[in-house]
Amino acid sequence: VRRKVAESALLAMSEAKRSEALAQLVGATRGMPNGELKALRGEIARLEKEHGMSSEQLRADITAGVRKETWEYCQWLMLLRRRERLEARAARS
Amino acid sequence: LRHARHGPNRFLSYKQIHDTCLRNFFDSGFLLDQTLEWSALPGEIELSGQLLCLGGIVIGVRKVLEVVEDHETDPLVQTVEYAYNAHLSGHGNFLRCDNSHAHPGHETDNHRHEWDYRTEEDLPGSPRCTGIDWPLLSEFIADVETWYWSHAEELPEPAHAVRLLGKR
Repeated sequence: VRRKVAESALLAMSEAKRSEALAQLVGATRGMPNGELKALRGEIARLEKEHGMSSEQLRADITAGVRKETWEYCQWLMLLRRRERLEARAARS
Repeated sequence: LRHARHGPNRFLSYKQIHDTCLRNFFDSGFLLDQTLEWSALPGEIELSGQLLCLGGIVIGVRKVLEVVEDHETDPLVQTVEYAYNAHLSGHGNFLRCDNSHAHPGHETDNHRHEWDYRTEEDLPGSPRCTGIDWPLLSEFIADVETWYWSHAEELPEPAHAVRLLGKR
């Protein structure tokens, strides 16, 4: 499970609690990428199925300017970049 | 090389600057509410969520800070990916800055889209490359505020926008 903390929750915390929450957040960045990669690949597959289009096709269409770059597509493209970073990280570990 | 102002910074310093900038926009009355959250991923920290602004404007935020030097509580981090998107609720997007992909002819992935919020048609010159001098989130919010004040007279009733964040 990915560790998350809401900004509003942080703002409501005492300084000591906030420091502890941020330290836990930082600690969670040391996790191995495999679980996150699996979840990310599932999310990308879901988007591809929902839109009836491969990620490679989306990227090619957006780069060529033949498909309107919606906010949803933009975030999809960010997931592809994340996948690349995590795959590189997994390869190094 | 990254531009110096987008260079690595200690996470807690980054967070402190972020808090101060957002507080200033809340104090000025332009920001009304937010749903931002921080997430930890292997080797990176993501900031994501929405900012509700005057006029029914909603800014979507996704920003990824990569850990470039580990530390027990305060690692050195650097932004590797970002997307800020402003739209007028009930209408369309009008401004986005991101680096999520390349555009032909652009020297970097950093670019800025500007649209007519009523039609979402690209404005002349959009998208344009912002190069290494891409905006901080605070600068993007300031641009959105400038846009708001130059369009305030023509914007529709924003009451429904508040419900978008599901808080009221």
